[in-house]
Amino acid sequence: MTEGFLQGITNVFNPTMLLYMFLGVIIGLIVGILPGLGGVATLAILLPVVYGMNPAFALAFLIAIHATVYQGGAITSILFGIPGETATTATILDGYPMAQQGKAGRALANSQVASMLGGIFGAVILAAFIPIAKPIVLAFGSPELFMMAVMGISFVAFLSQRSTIKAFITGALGLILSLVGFHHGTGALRYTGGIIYFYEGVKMVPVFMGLFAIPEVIEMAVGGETIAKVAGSDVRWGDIIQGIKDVFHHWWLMIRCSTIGTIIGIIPGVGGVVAQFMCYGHAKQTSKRAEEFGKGCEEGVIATQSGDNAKEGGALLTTLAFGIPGSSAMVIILGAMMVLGIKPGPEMITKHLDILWTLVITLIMSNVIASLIGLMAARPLARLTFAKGTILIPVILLLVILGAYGVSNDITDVFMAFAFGALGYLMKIYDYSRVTFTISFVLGDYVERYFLISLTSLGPGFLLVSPIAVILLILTILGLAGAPLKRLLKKSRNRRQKQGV
Amino acid sequence: MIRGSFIFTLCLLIVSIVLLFATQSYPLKAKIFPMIAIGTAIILLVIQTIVDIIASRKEVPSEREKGERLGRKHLTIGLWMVATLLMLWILGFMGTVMFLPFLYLRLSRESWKLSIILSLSCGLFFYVLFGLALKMPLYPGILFGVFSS
Repeated sequence: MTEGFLQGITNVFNPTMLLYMFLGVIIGLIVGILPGLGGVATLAILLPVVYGMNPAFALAFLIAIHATVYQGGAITSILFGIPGETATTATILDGYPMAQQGKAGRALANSQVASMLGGIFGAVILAAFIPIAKPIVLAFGSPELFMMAVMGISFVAFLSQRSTIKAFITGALGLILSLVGFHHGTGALRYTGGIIYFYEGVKMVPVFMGLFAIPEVIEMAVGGETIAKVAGSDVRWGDIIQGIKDVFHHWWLMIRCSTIGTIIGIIPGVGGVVAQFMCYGHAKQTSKRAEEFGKGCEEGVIATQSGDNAKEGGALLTTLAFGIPGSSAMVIILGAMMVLGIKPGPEMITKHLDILWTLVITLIMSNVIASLIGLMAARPLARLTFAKGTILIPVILLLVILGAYGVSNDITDVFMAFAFGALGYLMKIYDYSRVTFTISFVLGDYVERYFLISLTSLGPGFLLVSPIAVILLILTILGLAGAPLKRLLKKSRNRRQKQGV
Repeated sequence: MIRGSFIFTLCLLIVSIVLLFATQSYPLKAKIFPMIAIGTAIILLVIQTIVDIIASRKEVPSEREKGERLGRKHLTIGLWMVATLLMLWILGFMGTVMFLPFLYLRLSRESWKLSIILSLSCGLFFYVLFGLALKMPLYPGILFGVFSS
């Protein structure tokens, strides 16, 4: 073990390796910043480049790109309200309002430091848990996964800022939207209206682009001149330092969300979008400032970004330990490993321990380098939020078009994004929670799949069969009942106090 | 604003009812979950519609006037969105990348210099990165599509 660790360090601090890592980080950040350029697509494009390379260098290069994409994505999410990456959508919820309040520097620092620490957390978990990962992965069957998703949606809806009824409505509508298209269990085509475009379901990126970016463009055109709605265009280093301090101040939140991110990363097939929204829901549910969420609360940015980057350690864990890729990016990394002659699985611990450690250290180093670059660039980048609206509106519209079109080079996606933009704006002005809608839309497929598997295999009482599912069910009920009970208790206490007076 | 909210809620309710009818034709396994989701949505939407009706009776007139003022601005940006989509459909990706910033800036009374520089910069950036470097098949638009064919 020690020998492998030392070999890993020697590999990482090799000048050629450092060069590849640095290049990977820069590519990752650029890809993340530009909507429409996905991390997965970039890995696929660059895959032929690594053939014939030293396996450690090649994998470190790919890992560095993938690990830093979300840090870049967070920059676009915070500054323009456009998800740079699909998995940085939840960062918009509080990051963009912070930018509107002239706190873009602080939000960027929040995101970069939280991402870095989340990434390090995930890497440490990866290193520590490889030998004992199997029972953890196997403990989560379909009833537990179903309950986890239901808990996430319920909490986010319940903690919605204004109308709880409206939040639950959007939760149900988000679930319905996720059901559009081909049903894998029966082969039925649902809610497609006979339109071929919908056969594979509604794509996430146009929905996210529309729901979150277009309403901001409309608002900028109708109400304000700049993204930042406060006077003055100076972004001080003090804001950035405050942003760094915030993350350490909320260290416990960061640890919890990193843990959630890592666990979600471990579960194959559940992507970064889910990790982000689950972390956001958890942060909002546990925060003393829940009512500030969605209005520019730094906790929202810290939670989402730490969970997002921690997820990579978890995803790498299943990829390396079992050869089961946790995400589409991991499929490409797995492919690269095969091509380079490395067989994932128990062999990683017996034969390729040096490469395993190289990857762990690369994951940590890439996050640190990306974070430092992000922090250094935060000040000039944050100034963009003070640029005139007339200049920003067409540029943001172009980024939306590019982001929606780039998913599958289909012009219909752009029209879809604009249609969801109109819906998103109406939802925004009439207080229908876009967050609940999005989280339900993301989780809907999993909720239905795990619901049907559990129902078929365990019967209608499937939730009561598993102790973990029962615990999650109790937590959901307590979470939902907790706040009204507290309110009732407070009212009766006040009444008693008044009567006493 | 409250009247708008009522209309929006009503639209969502109508869509949900239509979806409920559509769901009836699916096989059992394909309709269990949608029925639960749509059923929940309809019950909540009915409650919300009643809440909106009650709230609309308390609407203050000044809110209506403010809404009308904002309506004009909404119409303008709405037309811009439609124009952008039309531009994309007719002129394609590169045409939109060049013309959209130029037209928007000029109609917003920005200087000729800024309008031209920003449009050209956008065009160059998007073409070099996506067209040349990444070889992304950029949508040509119906106008240029006809010429190229």
